[in-house]
Amino acid sequence: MDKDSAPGSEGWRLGLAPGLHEWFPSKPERPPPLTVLIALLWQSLDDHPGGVAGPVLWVGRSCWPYPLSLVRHTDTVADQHLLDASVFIDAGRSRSAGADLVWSIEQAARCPGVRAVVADGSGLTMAESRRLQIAAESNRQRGGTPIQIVRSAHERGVLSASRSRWRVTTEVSKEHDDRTQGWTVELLRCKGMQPDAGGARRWCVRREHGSGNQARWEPIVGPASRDGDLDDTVARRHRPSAQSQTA
Amino acid sequence: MLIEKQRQRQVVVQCCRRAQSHGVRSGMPLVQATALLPARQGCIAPFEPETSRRSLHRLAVWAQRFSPLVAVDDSTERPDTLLLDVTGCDRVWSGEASLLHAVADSMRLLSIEARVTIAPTIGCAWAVARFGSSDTSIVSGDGVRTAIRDLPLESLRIDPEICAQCRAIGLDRIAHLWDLPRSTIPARFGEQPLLRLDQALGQAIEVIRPIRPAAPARRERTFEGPTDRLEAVELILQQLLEELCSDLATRECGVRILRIELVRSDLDPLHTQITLGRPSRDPQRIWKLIRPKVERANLGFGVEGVSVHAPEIGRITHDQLLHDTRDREPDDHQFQAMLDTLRNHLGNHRVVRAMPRESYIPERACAWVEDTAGSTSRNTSDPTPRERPTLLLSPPERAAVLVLNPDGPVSRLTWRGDEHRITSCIGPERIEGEWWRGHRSTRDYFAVRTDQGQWLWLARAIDRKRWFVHGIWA
Repeated sequence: MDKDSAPGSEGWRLGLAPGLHEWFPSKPERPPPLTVLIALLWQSLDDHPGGVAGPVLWVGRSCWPYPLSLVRHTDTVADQHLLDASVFIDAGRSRSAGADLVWSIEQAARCPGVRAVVADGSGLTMAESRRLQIAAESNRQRGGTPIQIVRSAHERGVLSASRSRWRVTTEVSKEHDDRTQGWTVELLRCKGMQPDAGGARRWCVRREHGSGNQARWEPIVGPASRDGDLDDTVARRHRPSAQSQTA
Repeated sequence: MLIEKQRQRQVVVQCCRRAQSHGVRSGMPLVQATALLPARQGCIAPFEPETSRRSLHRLAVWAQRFSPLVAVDDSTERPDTLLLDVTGCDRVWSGEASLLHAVADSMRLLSIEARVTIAPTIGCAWAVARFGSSDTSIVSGDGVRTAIRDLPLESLRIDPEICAQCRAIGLDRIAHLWDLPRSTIPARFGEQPLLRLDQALGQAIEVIRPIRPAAPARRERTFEGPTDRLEAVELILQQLLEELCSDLATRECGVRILRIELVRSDLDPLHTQITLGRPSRDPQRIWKLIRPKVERANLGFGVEGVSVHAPEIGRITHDQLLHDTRDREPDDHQFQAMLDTLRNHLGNHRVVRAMPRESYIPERACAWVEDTAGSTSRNTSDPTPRERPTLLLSPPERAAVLVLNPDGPVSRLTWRGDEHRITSCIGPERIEGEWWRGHRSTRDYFAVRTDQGQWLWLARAIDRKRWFVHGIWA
């Protein structure tokens, strides 16, 4: 995607671009937005039909999905490509676990042929995120590796060198006995993009319960939420993290 | 009885002694053999030459405890004989008789019907073991002629056709053969009978070709004096590793597990081990994995010697250089190398893949398997259930639920201290306990949506009448 261009209806594909992407749930107690990430990874596999699916690494136990949710069903067959490509890495909970975690993500991102890395990034510092961003772009001839970092909601004020920041909110539906599951995905910040640039910055991921993991992305037309704008301002002014958390 | 199909009929190839006592002989049709045996007795299995050959080879390796030179006799069509060169070994067993009994007793313990003979020549031992009167016998140095005098000609390992020709002119026993003038025999029956006779009598040379077990993949070096210089130790280790890898290259194998031992001057030896996902014989790659462990090693007052040992090796096919460098293989190699690095740093159990299992119980339906080369086969026959949450809570969390009518939809849920109104409830999906594993609890699963828009996977344990939140579509 070109720099300075506004994202369009397919703008969520920015999340597949090589580099560090941070994902925030809407509330601190909410689990990592795994359904949206799985939908994103499926999209990445579908973009290369028939091609060799490179491995997908899940680093850190807190962001391991339930493996059976990685299977996608069509009418007749169960598509296990994503499950077969997945390798799960537990970076541990010992004292040195933080260092091990960043080291593991970096090793994975520097390895050529890796399709994507999904990692637990809670407590990631600015220096570490810069290190990971460099690692993600290290395989230039292969276009680099996208790293999806899952962070907790209260870390939104922490600065990082990531390429983009996303927030995932569950969609509240008023209809009763509706089978549709929906999530709103919001692009909070993106390197090289003006916060007031036009175009869609919110998308909706919808899937029918029982449809066998088939998700679809739809753009949401309308102004971005207040909260998102605030986050951009914080990032541009490089305010220290303690202040931005109170802001 | 072991049977084989020969020309459209089943023929007994080998049979045990009990069957023999009923009159069964090898070469007999199966129908006749079963008629001879008492009703419904006898175990019949197909004869597999390859399996038989392999187990004989294993037995030969085992028999090296009696003699360093053990060979599988391959002079017959179906090898069934082990040859042991026990020259000088009798002293260890204090006499030939006790050696003979040791061998016979061990065979009996292994449930193998064996006939054991110690004789001065291979031919004599072969003949007496097969056609002699007793199961165990010893032929002394000057008793060869008397021992084989009355044995049939087959005992000399002569081809059956030649034996038949001899029998046609009245030559039955070995003694008949040596009574004839030597010059007349080759013209009539060829070279073989005389050669075999000479071998049995010790007048012609016969050697056994002993099996040689593969030497363990191991290299070691001792320093002149203890050294506490890490550079020296590292240099020697690298050299040993290269030597080991070139050894393995000739055997078309690669290292799966590598163990390094540092013999320290006044401390216990230090052992370090690495495991590789796939066998490799690239010294650079292995060195990269083992180096951090060596650097952390406590050399104490100095290292006296180092050894590099590969207790587990795996087969690698020939490497072919690729013309097309964009080929995928190098990528896969690098990925495996990266996983090895992670495995050796974090531990084997921390790098896993998920393997679906044939179970409907959510927590059992998937197994975490260590990602090694041996575990690539996947069970894809069983279709996995269509709808599962992306996050499974382990253990399930207790929840309080308000249901308006029994088995009806859930209307309110209290979970993690918050009360949620349920706006959508899909279910129940009943999952029976696997009673054959002693897991009897039956559960009903509901997918519910809270008023916050979150989708949860609720479980009701039928027998305990309790509700749990088991998963989240996160």
